[in-house]
Amino acid sequence: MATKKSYAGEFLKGLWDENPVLRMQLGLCPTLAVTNSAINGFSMGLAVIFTLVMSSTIISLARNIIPKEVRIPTFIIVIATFVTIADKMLAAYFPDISKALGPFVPLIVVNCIIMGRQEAFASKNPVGRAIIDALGMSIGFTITLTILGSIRELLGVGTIFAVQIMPSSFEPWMVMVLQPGAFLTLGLMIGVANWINARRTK
Amino acid sequence: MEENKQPVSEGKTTEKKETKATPAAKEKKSEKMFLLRSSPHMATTDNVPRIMWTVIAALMPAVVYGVYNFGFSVLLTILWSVIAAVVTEIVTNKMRGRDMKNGDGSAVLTGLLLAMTLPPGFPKAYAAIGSVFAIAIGKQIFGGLGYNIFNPALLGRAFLQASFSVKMTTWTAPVSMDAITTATPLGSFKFEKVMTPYFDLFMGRIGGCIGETSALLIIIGGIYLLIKKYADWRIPVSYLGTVFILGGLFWLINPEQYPDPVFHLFSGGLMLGAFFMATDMVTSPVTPRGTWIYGVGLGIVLIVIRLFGGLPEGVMYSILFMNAFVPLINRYTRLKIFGEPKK
Amino acid sequence: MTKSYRLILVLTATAILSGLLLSFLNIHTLPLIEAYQKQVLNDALSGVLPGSVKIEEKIFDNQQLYFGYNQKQQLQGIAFLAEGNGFQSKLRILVGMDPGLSTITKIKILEQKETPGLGTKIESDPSSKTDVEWFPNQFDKLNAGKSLSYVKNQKPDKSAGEIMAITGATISSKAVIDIINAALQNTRKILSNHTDLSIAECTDDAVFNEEGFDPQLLPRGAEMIKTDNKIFLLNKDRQGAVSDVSFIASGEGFQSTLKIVVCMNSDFTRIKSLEILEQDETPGWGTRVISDTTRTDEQWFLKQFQNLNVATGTIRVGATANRQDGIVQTISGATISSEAIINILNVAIKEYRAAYLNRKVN
Repeated sequence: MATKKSYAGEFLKGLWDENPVLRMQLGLCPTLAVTNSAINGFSMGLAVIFTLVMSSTIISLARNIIPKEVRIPTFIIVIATFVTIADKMLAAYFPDISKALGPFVPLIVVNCIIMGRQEAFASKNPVGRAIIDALGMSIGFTITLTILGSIRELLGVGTIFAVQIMPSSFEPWMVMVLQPGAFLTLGLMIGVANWINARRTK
Repeated sequence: MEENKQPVSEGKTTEKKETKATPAAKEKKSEKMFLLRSSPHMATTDNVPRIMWTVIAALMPAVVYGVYNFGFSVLLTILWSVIAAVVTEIVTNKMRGRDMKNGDGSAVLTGLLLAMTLPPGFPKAYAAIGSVFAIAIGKQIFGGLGYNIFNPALLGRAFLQASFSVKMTTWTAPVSMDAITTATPLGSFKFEKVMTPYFDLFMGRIGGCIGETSALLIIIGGIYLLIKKYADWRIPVSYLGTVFILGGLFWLINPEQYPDPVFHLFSGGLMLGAFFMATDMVTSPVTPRGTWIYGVGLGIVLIVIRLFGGLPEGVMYSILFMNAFVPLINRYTRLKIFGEPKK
Repeated sequence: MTKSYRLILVLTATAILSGLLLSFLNIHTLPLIEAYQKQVLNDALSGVLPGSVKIEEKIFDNQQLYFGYNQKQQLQGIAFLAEGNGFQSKLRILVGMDPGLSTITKIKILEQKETPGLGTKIESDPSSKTDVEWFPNQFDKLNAGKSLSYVKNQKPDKSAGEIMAITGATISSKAVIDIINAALQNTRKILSNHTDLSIAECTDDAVFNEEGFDPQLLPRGAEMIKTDNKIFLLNKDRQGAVSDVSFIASGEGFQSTLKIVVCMNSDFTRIKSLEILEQDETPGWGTRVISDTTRTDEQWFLKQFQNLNVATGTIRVGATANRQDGIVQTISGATISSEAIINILNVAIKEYRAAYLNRKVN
């Protein structure tokens, strides 16, 4: 954080340069676990957007009040509160999605992206910047998960967001919606991202 | 024998072996360790393409029998698989900026081995997908021939098994053009406790994958490889031996529940796996002691899967599973360099 | 010192705020979540217990049982939850059966996370052109007299309790069958330990014609015996033991002859149910014994007799009904009709009990 970025730059870094999944390899557990369909990846992303933006806002506002000795417990309480809110809201209003995401919504608590942003950014920056950073990071996360989920759903079921894309003669590649499919697809996506980056920097 | 084998796996394989085997030495000494090799140095005519084509030749009896057994269409399956493998090899090498002047035949072998492990009625386009996966993901992503951890053909098969498991377990009866489904000897024992006569098992007049049914012809090809020293005899001996002993133990405990050891040896893809896949130079250990550990491990995993797993057959997974341990085995069983101080 | 106070203060404040927020949230979302879960279960229950308008839940030794009753308070079916491990996940299956637990009515997979595309076919199979739920639908009207079993590559025999396994998901298919078998066995055990649940239910009124019992319509397992000029209909459970005895009591009411089907347990100490076969009482008054439109529960009068203890020998009239003491309430405005029924029953039970207990057992 030596050089102050513009607001746009603060937002955009989350989408590519510091993309939490593709570039920093953070939050891989939910990434691998829930992306067996586009909608699951997308909903997980939305839950993270909510949790990250809300926690970053609160932490950034309270950054001068929180003593640094207890900052981690405080962060955890704040994050856990918003995760619980997200979890309960999903269970109450979108029970199907809540069922599909299973235990991974409560597990957002230990998602390194959220903790990492509080520690590295929100606790050191004014609230405007913290929100924009949180938005960029979580939207970057959401986009990545949606793409990952779409690829897996397309090859593994033949649909994207439950819309039939492949011709009916297409035999789904079951492995893509199974756990190995997550590792294969994510590995290839990270590979492609590195390749693009290598070309850009050249 | 080891001297004979070392020049065989010339180039990349040797490089890998050295770097893997002596990380400590590499730190202390210098990069020159790569080039040093203890005498005697032996001139040899063996090289990678020669080995690959010999292995392919050794597979031919089983392939021809597969075509005779399951009909002409399996020949097309094999062709599709081989062509897809070769095309993928060329394309990926281009993408990686590598020269493809000297085709080493390894892609042909991978495609052929993959096809031999497919059920006879398997759709040809899917066989091609398996080959693409085997070469691109199974081999080239790791850095090409010599760097791959897992046997590419089996990785391709594992991908197909996970993707199209229904088609991968639909078996056609021998010589019936109109896809009559049947069960493999292992399947019928596991699920219905029906034994297949030994003679049929040995000759290969049974349901199963294209190239795995005739134990006799695979053994002939395998022994040819052993004589040419292109395969380490310790691997089939320890693999088959472990299966025989362990399978026999369980059979003695409860002959009702578990099949006898002879049945274990000649059913499924064990012979093909033991002679042609587990012995893959790149993905098997380099030290004699390591080879024994590897073979025994293969046998244990196979018996566990066959007797207690959900699947009737476990050759593929036993080999892939033990492949993962090969770097570790190499590390702990490496030969002491003469004069190296004891720790 | 002030430093530590500040640490404690900040943490405490955060925790309290968070707690307040969450409890507020919980108050709002909990009813919604519970309503949803209840609705899922109810939908499933009415699916597996067709024809039941009222479903009662009872729990025995960790096994949830659901009893479905029709308009006339007759047991229509029993559902139970079967739980166990599938291929890679826990399966929860709701199984609906007939009251005798001999035939499966329908099953519903409530929860499974099996291999997508393979094991998930136990719930629905998108690749099927004809019926995506072909696997669970195989259980419809399946004979469960013996244990269920599965077959492969051949047509299953429904009357033998056979199910066609899913190609490529044999283990998941087998798990469903094993789980149902285990839960069914457990349920049978529970029900045989709790005989008061009256599972082998009193005979349906369809068995009667104007004369009395119709031998043509006897249900499976039932037997008609005649002893001392009295006719009994015996219902038997699967072990062949008599689970209940029905007979027809008749006598004069206020202005007509009443014919009442009485169903009792096999030692004649308890009435299981009453059914008025024939009556011609004063409309609006005497007919209240069957249907009392002045009450929300129109069948309240007859219901008093369900599970009524008659070990003392007589049914008595009282101000408040008490099943254990054999006391029933009369209908105000139709006292004579009410009392007539009680008298008919008292006489009939005495006669029939003597005849039944003294019958020649061969």
